[in-house]
Amino acid sequence: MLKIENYTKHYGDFLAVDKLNLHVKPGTLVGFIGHNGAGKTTTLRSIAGILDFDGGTIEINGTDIEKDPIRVKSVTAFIPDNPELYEFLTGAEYLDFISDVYQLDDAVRQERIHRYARTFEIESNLSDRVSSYSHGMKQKLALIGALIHEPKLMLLDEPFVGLDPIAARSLRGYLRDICDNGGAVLFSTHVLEVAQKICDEIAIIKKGKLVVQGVTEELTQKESLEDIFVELSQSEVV
Amino acid sequence: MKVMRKLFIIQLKQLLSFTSNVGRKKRQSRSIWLMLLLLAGLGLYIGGIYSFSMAQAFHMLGTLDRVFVIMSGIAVLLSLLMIVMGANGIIFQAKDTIFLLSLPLQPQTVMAAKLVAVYGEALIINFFMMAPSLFAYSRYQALPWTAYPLFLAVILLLPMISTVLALILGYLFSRIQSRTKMSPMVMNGLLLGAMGVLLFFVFQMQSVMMGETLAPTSLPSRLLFLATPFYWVRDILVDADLLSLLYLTVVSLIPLGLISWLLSTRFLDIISGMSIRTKSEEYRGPSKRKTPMKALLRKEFKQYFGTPTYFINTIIGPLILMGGAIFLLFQQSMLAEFEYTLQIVGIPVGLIIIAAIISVLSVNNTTAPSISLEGSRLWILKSLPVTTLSILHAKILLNLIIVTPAVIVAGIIANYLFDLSMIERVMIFVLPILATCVSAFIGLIANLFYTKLDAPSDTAVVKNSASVIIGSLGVMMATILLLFVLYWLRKYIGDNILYIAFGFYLIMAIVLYQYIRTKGVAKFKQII
Repeated sequence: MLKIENYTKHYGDFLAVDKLNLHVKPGTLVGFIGHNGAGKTTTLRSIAGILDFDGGTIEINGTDIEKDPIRVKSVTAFIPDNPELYEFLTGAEYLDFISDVYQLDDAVRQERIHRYARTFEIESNLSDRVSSYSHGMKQKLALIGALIHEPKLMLLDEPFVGLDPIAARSLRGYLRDICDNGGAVLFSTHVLEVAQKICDEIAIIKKGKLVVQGVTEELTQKESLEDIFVELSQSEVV
Repeated sequence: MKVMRKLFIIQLKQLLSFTSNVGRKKRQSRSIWLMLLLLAGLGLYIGGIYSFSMAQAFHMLGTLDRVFVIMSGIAVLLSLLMIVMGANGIIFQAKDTIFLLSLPLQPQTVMAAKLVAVYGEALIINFFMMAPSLFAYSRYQALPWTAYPLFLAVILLLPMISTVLALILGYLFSRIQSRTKMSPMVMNGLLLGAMGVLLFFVFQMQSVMMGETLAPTSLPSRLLFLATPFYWVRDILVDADLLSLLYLTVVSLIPLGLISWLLSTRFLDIISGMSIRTKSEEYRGPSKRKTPMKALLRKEFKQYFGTPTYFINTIIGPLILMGGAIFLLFQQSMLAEFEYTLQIVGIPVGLIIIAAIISVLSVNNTTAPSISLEGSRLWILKSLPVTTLSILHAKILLNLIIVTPAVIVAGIIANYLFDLSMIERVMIFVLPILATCVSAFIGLIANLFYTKLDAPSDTAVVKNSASVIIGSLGVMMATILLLFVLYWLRKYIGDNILYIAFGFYLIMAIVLYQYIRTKGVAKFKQII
C-alpha cells in the first residue's frame, strides 16, 4: 500500500529526515512514534503530497506521489495535528466542498455525511459556521471530511488529541474498518498505550531515521512499548 | 514598561506584518522597515499632491492658510479609513488575544499595547500627509519659526482623533458580527455603507471648505462646525495660537483617554462578549454535486464574501466604476462640459474613458492576498486531488468574475452616451478585461513569492501584506505610468495607440500566465 524508499528531507541546512525506508502493507494499522521534531509530521506531509522532498521515492498503491500526485491523493486522506478548517464555511458546506472535489454522488454523500455526523455527534452543528466550532468539533469535521471518500490510505497526525472518549472509540473503529477493507492507516501519536493497543505494527523514528519497525505483538512480547521507546531514546542513532 | 514596550513592538509588527513566512529573521526585520517606508511614501504622495495643488489655488485667492484646514481634515479621515479595519483586526478579533491574556499580564497592558500600535500607524500616516503642507505653504508665504515645533505637537494630537473613531467603529462592527447571526453579505453591506458615509463626509467637508474660500459670506454651516479642530490647526501653525492648541489637546486627548480607560477596564468582558454562540439551525442535507473546479470557485466566493476586510478592500474599484457609470447616465448634463474640456485638451473621449476604467480597476486585486488568506488551512487544498493550476485558476477567476460585470455595465453606458469610434467601442470592453487579467496575474505571482501564512488576522494580510502592496499599489502606479507613456506615444502614432495598448496587455497577459503555469505552480508546491 505504502512504500517509502530512501526518503530524505532538508529544511535549509537542517536534515529533517534521512533516507527513511518504510513499508505499510494493505490491511495494516501502523503507529508512527517519535520525539517532537523526530520527523513524523514531515514524513506524513510528504506522503500526503503536501510537502516536497529532496530524495527518495514515495509510492502509494504502486503510484509515485511525485509522478502522479492527483491519482495518489484521490485514494489518500490526511489530517494534520491541528486541523484548521475554512471558518467562513458551515460544516455542511465544508463537507460539500470535499465531496465535490472527490466527485461523490448525491446519494452517497448524503448517506455518508449523515452516518459519520451522527457517529461523531455533530449533525446538529452542520449548519453552523466552522468559526463557532470548538477544537474537538473541528477535529471531528476534519475526520468526516477525510473519511467521506473512503480512502485506501489514511494518514493522521496525532488524531486522538482533542477528541472525546466516544469519538476516539468511533475513530478507532473506522480506522480498523479501513484496514479490514484492504486499506491501510499510518498515524503518529505520543500516546503509547493507544499505539500498543490498536496498532498492528509500530514504526519508531529518531532524529530523522527509522530505528524500529515491526509487528506490535512481537515487539512488545518482553517489554512494553513505553520501555522500548525510552530505551531507544537513550541510545545513539547510528 | 519593558513588557509594554515589547508588546507594543510585537503589535506594531503584526499590524505592519507582510513578510514571507519563509523569510529569514533579517529579511523580516528589513520588511517591517520597508512597510513603514511604503506607508510614509503613500502619505507623502497623497499629501504632496493635495498640498501643493491647493496651495497654488488658495494663494491666488488670497486664502493660503486654508491648506492647513483641509489637509488636517483629509489626513485624519484618510488615516481613519486606513486604520479602521486594522483596529478591528488587531484589537477585537486578533488571534493572539487569548494567548496574551493567558500570560501573567494585566488585560489593560495588552489593550494598551494594541491601542498604541494602532495610534502609531495613524501617527505615521498623519505625519507624512501633513508635512508637505508646511512646504507648500512656505513656497508662497513664510511661516513663523514657532510653526515647526507646534507642528510636532499637532501631529501627535491629530492621530488621536482618527484612533478614537477607528476604535468606536471597530468595536461596533465586531460587536454586531459576534452578537448576531448576520450573514457576511449584510455585514459587508454595513461596512460599505459606513465607508460611503465617511467618504461622503470627506467630499462634503472639502467642498464646503472650498466654497467658504470662494464665498466667505456663506459661513457657517453645520459641517464646518465638525471641522472646527482643523481650523484650530490653522490657528496653531499660522498664528501660533496656544489657546487653539489647548482646545485641540482637549478634543484629542480626553476622548482617547476616556475610550482607552473604558476599553482597558472592560477588555476581558469585551473579548469574552465577542464569542457568544447562537442556537444552531437544522441541517437540511448536502447540496447537489458540482465539478471540482466549480467547488473550488465556490469556496473562493464564500471566502471573499465571508471575509469583510477582503471584500471591502477589493470591491471599491468595481463599485466606483459601476456607480459612476450609472450616475453619468442620470446626470447627462455633465457630459457636454466634460466633452468640451476634452476637446480643448485634444484627447478623444474614448481614450480617456478607457484609461479611466483601467485606472479605477487597477487597485482592485483579489489575487494578491488570496494564497496568504489560506493561512494554516492551506493543507486542505494541498491534500486534495486537484491540480495546483486548478487552485490558481479559481483564484484568478474570482477576480475576473467580480470585475467583469462592472466593465460590461460601464462599457454599455459609455457606448450609449458617447460618440465613439468602432475600435473604441470594442476596446472599452477588451482592454479593461485584459488589464484586469494582467493585474490578477501580477497579484498572484506577488503572493506566491510573498506568502504570509501566519498573519495575526485576515486584516493584516489584506491591508498590509507585501503582495497586496505590489498587487494593488504597485499595479496602480505601473498603470498610471503606462498611461502617461501611451499619452506621450500618441503624439507620434495618433489613435493607433489603442492597438499598441492591446498588444502590450495581451503580451503581458500571455507571458505572466505562462510564468504562473510553470514557475508559479512550482512555487506553490514549496509553500508550507
